[in-house]
This record gives sequence, C-alpha cells and structure tokens, in this order.
Amino acid sequence: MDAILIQLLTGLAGASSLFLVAAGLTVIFGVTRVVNFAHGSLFMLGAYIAWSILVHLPRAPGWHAAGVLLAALATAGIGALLEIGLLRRLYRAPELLQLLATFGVLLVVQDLTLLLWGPNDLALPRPSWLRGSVAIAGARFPAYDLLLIGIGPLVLAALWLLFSRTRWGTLVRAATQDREMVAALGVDQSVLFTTVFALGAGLAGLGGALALPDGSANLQMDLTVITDAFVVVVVGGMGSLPGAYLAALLIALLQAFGVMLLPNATLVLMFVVMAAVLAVRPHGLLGRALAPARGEAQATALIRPASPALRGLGLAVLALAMAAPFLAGPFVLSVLTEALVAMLFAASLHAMMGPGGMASFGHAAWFGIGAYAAALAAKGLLMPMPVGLLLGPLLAGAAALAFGWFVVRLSGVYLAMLTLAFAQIVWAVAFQSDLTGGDNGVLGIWPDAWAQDPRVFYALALVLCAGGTLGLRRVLFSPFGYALRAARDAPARAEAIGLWPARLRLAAFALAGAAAGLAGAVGTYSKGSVFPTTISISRSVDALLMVLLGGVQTMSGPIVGALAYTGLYDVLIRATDLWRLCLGLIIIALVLAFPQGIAGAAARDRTA
Amino acid sequence: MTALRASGLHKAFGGVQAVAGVSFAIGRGEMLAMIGPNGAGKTTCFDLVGGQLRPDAGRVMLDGQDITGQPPRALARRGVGRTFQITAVFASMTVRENVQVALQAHHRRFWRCWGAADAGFRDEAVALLAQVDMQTQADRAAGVLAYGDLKRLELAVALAAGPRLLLMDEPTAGMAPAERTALMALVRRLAHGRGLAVLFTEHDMDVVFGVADRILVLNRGHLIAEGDAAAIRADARVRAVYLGGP
Repeated sequence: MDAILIQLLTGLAGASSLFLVAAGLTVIFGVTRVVNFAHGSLFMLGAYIAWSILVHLPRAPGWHAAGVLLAALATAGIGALLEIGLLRRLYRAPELLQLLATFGVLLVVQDLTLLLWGPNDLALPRPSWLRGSVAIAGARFPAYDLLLIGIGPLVLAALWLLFSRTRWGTLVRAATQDREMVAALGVDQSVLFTTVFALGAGLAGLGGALALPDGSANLQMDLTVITDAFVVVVVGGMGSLPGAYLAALLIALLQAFGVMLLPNATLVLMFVVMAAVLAVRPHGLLGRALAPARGEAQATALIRPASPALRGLGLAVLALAMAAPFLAGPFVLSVLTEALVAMLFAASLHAMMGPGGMASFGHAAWFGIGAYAAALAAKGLLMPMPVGLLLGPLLAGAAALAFGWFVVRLSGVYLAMLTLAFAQIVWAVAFQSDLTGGDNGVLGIWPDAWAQDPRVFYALALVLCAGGTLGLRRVLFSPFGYALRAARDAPARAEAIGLWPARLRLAAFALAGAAAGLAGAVGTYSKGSVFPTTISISRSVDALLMVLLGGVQTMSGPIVGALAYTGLYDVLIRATDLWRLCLGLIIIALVLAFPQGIAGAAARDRTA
Repeated sequence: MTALRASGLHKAFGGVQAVAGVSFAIGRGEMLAMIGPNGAGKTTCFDLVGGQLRPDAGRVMLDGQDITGQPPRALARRGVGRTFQITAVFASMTVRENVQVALQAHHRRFWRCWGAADAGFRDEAVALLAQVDMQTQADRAAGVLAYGDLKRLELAVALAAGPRLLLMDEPTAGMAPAERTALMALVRRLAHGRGLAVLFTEHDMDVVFGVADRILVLNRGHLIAEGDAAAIRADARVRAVYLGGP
C-alpha cells in the first residue's frame, strides 16, 4: 500500500515534468502546425542556461525560483529568434520540410551546447532545502518532487487563464481552429506566431530548468525529451492542453507502476500505450480531426518516366558502379557498399512516403528488423548468408504488413508518430532483450567464404541494393504504382473508380518494409555487426533526410538524396569535429533554398 | 426499365436530419436532376446512393439488387460512376494517365506490379478523352487544367468504367455558361444513346430545365416535388421554397 502511494507520487511528479515540455510543443503545433523537432533542444538549453545562472546565485529558494524563471525567459527569447529567423519562412512549406529544418536546428544546438558548456554532465550543487524530504506513509519522499507535483497543474491553470481570459489567448484559440480566418479578420499573424513560439519555448526552458535539481544538464536530453514529448502530445491529441496533461499523467503513472511490475519493459510500455490509444482514438485522447490548413503549398508534381538524358546518366552511373571493383581499393568499396545500402533504405522510404503518401518517422524499424534477422540467422541459427539475406526482407515485410494493418487508415502527423512509436518498441526490444545481446549487439557476422573478398561482396551488394532500388522504381511505374498514387492524389475519386486505397497503402507499406529489411540485412553482413542504434531515431531521420533532400515528389529523388547525404556525411565526419553543426546548417540552408528538394528543384528548372 | 431505386432514405448528422425519407427512381437512359436550396440534402443524397455514406434507414437498389451501404469501390464494380462537387483528379498524372488508371481499375489490373502502366489502355483512354473533347490535352498535367477541363476530365474518368448509372454532383459548377450547356448536352447524348442513367445536382436552372428529363426538388431533407420541367415550374411548393412566400 505504502509502496503504491510512493509510486503514485513519483508518477505525479513525472507527469508534471512531461507536461511542461509537451504543453509547449502542443501549443506551438496547435497554432503554427509546425512539429518542432528542436523542442527538446530548447528544453536542454533551458537546463544549461539555468545551470549557468544558478551557480552564480545564492542558494536560497527565492533566488533559485528567480533563476529558473530567468532561464525560462531566456529560452523564450531564443525561441522567438528561432521563429523570426527560420520558421517564419517555412510556414507554407510542406510539413515534413519544416520538420527537417527543425531537425537541423537540433543538430546545430547540440554542437553549440557542446562548444559553450563542454562535454561533461553539469549537475547543480544541491543546497539543503533541495535535498530535503518528507516522511510519507513511513517512507521518505523528496520535497522537491512534491513541489513538481504542484507545478504541473499550476502551469495548466495559468495557461488556461491565459487562453480563456485574455484577448491574446482568444486569438490563439481562434488561430488554432482556423488561422486563415483569423488572418482575414486583420490580426497580425506574425506577432501571434512569434509570441506563441516564444511561449512554447519558454515552457520547454522552464521544464529544463526545473528538471535540473533532479539530474543534470547533459547532451542527451534533447532526443530523450523530444521523444517523450511527442508521445505525450500525440496521445493527448495534438493541440490540446488538457489532453497533454491527461496523457502526461497516464504515461508517467504507467512508467512509475511499470517499474514495479515489468522492470524490463518500461521502454516498450510507453509506446505500447501510445499505439493502443491511437488505434482506438486516432486523434488522441482529447484531440479532434484537424481541419486541413487551407491554401497550403501541397504541390503535387507531375511524375513522368525518366527522360532519355536522365536514363543515360543513370546507366553511366551504374556502369561506373559496376567498374568500381576494378578501380577502387577495399576501403572505397566499403564506403560504396554503405552508400548502396543507404540508397535502398532511402528508396524504400520514398516508395511509401512519396507515391504512397505515408510519411514514416520510424523507418529504421524495418531496416533494424532485417538487420537483426540476418544477424540472428547467422549467429543464432548458424545459417549461411543467403538465408540471412532472405530472412531479413521476409521478416521485415511480414512485420510491416502486421503493423500496417493498424495504421494505414491514419494519415499525416499521426501516422508518422505511430511509426515512430513502433520503431521505438523495436529498439527497446533489441535494447532490453537477451536474445539480441542488448546494448552489446550481435558481433562477428561475416559473409560466407565465397563472398569474403571485398570486391565480391561489393558486387553482391550492388546487385541486391541497386536491383532492389530499380525494382521498386519499376513497381512505382506499374499499374499498382499508379493506383497507389491515385489513392494518394484523390482518395475519394480512387474509391469511386473501384480502387481500395487502404489495401493499396498496406501493400506499399509491406513492400517498403521488405525493401528496408533487405537493406538492413546487406548492411549487417557489410559491417559484421548490428547494434540497437541501427533502429535509433537518428537512423530513421537519416532516411527522411535522404528522401527529403532528394525531393519526395520525384522518382529519382531518393537515389540522389541518399548519395548526396552519404557523401556529405562522410566528408563532414572526416573533416571536422563539428559535423553536426555543419550538417545542421547545410540542412537548414537547403530547406530554405530548395523547399521541394534537390531533384525536385532540378525538375522545376526543367519545366520552367 | 428502372436502373436505380432509392426508397425511404434517412440520414442524420448529430441532431441534424440531413435527409428524411427520400424515395426516387431513375430509368435507363434517363437524366434526373436533383435541385433544392443550399442545405437541402442533395450532396448527402448523393453520398447515400454513391456509397460514401451509409443510410440510417432506407434501401438503395441497383438493377433490382440491394446495394445499400456498399462501399464506393464495390459500387464502381457494379457500374456506378461518379463525379465530385469538389473536383478530384489525380494531379501527379497526365490527363491521359488519369483515364488509364480508371481503365486499369475497371479491368482489375491494379495489383500488377510489373510492366509499365503508361503503356496500358492508351488508345481506349484517348478515345474516351475524345468523347469529352479533351484529346488535344492528353499529355498535359492534370494538376494544371482549367476548371472546365477538369470537369470534363472527371467525366471521362467516370465513363472509363462503362457505368450504367452516373452520379454527377454539380457537374458544371465554375464553368462558363456556354461550356455548361455543351457539357450537359454531351452527357444527355451519352445517356440517351447508351441507356446510361444519370442523376445530377445543379444550381444553374437553365441547365436543369434544358437537359433534365425529370426533376426532383429537395428542401430540408424532404422531397417536395417531382416531375418534368413544366410541372416543377408550376409547382406551388417549389415556388415557395425558391421565391419565398406563405
């Protein structure tokens, strides 16, 4: 009984922390419709700034509170600058490009934080009042956590007052429902959006500053926090503040009690809840279906088979790739093999995202399932390589088929979030299970004797990856591919001519999963090992970056994007320690310069 | 010969009774217009017949077979074609490819993953485009067409399945008057020539009275009048709805 009470209080404290981050994210999304990937970075900045302020202040509670508020204000200022400098230029861009830009910000902030504050975790020296605890039901409960329990509902109430009792709040609520109408009524949108973004950033900063005494400011905070915040916002319903609190409560309590019941499944639990909620309520607990924002540039480009010139270029590149074993050494060949794997991975995501119209945030799941299937076939079942190369795509495709069954009726951000959730489940299983070797991964998976020669393995990878990519392309130009595109372009019209959009999408989902699984299997034999990081968020984002860089609306985009990204990445990582900073800035610049992607821009120039 | 018979259709959204006990029938080769003021329940009626919505009560029979509540994709196979009030074409394809996809869907080829879709049913597609006078635009992107051309393309796409019943929701909205008459005259020729039953809604009364064989008048979810142009013109309740009055 007492243990339950303590866990309940722990859960409530966790809920407050979760709510603070999620509240900012959901407010920003509600008004600007931007899914802010950099929100976790604002949280992290809040923690670091608070640390810098608080170590210079007296340790009394009053000073501490002032320091925390100051940190929140500073973060709000950074948020406002971010909105004015970057996001304002992107409101009319497709939502995935906005996401890409904010991911660029995340990378930049990571390296800037490293430069400014160094690599070490920064903990706050805790004065006695922060260390104090209260005796509850015979156990000692930290007093600071009691404070946190109170702060969550307090902030919710303050926000509620702000939104329901002020003119600004009324405008924000109106803009959440119909921003074009609000603009038409003569409200200055740019001021509204900037202030909303600053408020959201300030809430994230407050969350970071408040989390400091319980832990430390560290460089991993941003991705951890953004994942949690995404889950809370999606479960609660995007744009809904009460929903965010409810979801934060649900998830924090579940985690608190989950530790008692299933200590090995805590990571999985959060995402299982999210998947369950979205399966029953596709728009979250308190969310409503969003009215599509009108007048948005959802340009659908005309797609044509490759022109003779492009076909010639493709053949020339292919011929060069075939000649590579005779021209290049083992190191270059291994880099090229990586590029081939990346190309198939990107092409598989593009197939479901472009023609299929289903953006995935967790495409690494299928890559990872393929990779682990090959690894376990080799190490666990001692099977020869061809079996592993076959099992990879088969298992990944089957998993995608099963998972797709639940999600293909969703769309947009919700679909993206559910795929993210699934990828996190797969990651957590790989991380926490003994079968997969946990954090240590599976090592020593080498090709069969006949393919040990780097030149032979490269040729095999070329056949499988280039063949897979071209095969996918061929499918997309087949009657099935056209039907899939028809279902994306105009779902009601597609149904009226006798197509079944949900089934077409499901088939595309499974196909994309299988292709990614093949890429994963080839990648495993190429690297000789597989780790849980294969399924990490950043791996999924890599694929997104490649597709978006290449241009999602083109058929050659993923190939160009994958090669450009892999090349860029390799060059940067070798050239500088600050590769995240450079990559982030390049991403931001590219998004601003080519809102339709590289290949998309080339296509536009041709038709212009 | 009756192509479609709808009887006692009811549909409510929340507390709003959008369609309340509407019954009608369309014969083969008949042009049946459905008119009424905004909010009369025309589009809801269309969605009930076209399978986009499921009626709360009532039946829809196509050639004597019960098709109530069947999804649009199943109706398409039974020979129900449809155009939409808000024009929906496949914007990432050319005009000809739009029709080719519809032909492929009709011939159940859409699970074929190999072979270029571009090559299938080319001539049939061009022939259908010629019927709506769009053959010169076959290679243009569907996404950049003028409004009237979009409507004609939609018609060609709907005709690709060789329908027995064609549902057209506001087929001429946004078109110039001369274009409207031409398009509906074309539809009328098809209806009478092929024995195609056509149910359409329309705001332009010149078009309605010019081409419809029979007219249904809806108001607030109820069918208030039914008959040929002369009968509708003379109907007191119709005059009351459109012109106001006691």
